[in-house]
Amino acid sequence: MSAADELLKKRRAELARKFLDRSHQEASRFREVLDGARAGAVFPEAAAFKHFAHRIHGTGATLGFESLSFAAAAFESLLSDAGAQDVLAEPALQALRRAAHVLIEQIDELARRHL
Amino acid sequence: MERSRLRSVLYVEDEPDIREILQLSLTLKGELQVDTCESGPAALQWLRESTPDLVLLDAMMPEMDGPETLARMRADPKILPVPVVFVTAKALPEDVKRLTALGACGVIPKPFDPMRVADELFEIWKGIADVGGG
Repeated sequence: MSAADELLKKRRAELARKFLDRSHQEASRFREVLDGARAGAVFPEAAAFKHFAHRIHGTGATLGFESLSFAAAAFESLLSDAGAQDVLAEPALQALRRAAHVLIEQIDELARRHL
Repeated sequence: MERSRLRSVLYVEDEPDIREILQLSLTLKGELQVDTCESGPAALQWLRESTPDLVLLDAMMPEMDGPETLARMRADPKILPVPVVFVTAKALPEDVKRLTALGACGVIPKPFDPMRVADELFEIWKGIADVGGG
C-alpha cells in the first residue's frame, strides 16, 4: 500500500468516528421527535429528517458503513414518498417510525462498537 | 483551454466529511489541485474569480441545489463554461439522464469509494477531453 493510500485510510477512519459521533447525537434527538409525533398533527421536522437521512445515505458507505447507508436510503425513500407534507396520516407515520428505528438502532450499534 | 490533462477541480458540497474525504482522495490519488465550496452561492462567487478545469457539484444541497447552481453558472457572463460533473446519491439511469440533459458531463454516484473515485473522475474527464470540451 502506498503512503497516499495509508494516509487516506487513516483520515477516513478518523472522519468515520466523527461522523458516527455526530449521527449518534442527532439520532437521539430524532428518536424523541418520532416518539412524540402524532398522525394528523403538524410534523414540522420533515425537512430536518430528510436532511438527516440524505446525509447518512450519501456519507455512510463512503466512510465504511454500507448497511447504515442502505437503511438511510430506505428511510429517505419513504420520506420522499410522503412528499412535502407537514401532516402525516397514521400508515405513513407508522412506516416512517419503523424505518427510522431500523436506522437509529444501527447507529446506536455502530456507536457502541466504534466510539 | 487545454483539455488534455485534468489539473484543477472545484468541489461544491455541503457535507463537510464528504467534502474532506473527496478532496483528500483527489489530491493524494489524483494529484489534483482541489478547491472546495460549501454551497452553490459560494461556488458562484468563487467561479467569478477563478476557473478550474472542472466543477464537481453535489446535486442535493440546501438553499441552492446542484441543478440550480449549474443553471446560474451557465447564465452568468462572468463565469466561463467549465465542464460540470454531478456527485449524487440519486444516480438511477433516469436521474443521470435528467442531469445530463441539464448540461452535466458525467455523474459520480454517492456513496463512492475514496480509493477509486479519482480513477472514476479521470475516466469521465477522458470522455470530455475526447469530445473537446464541456
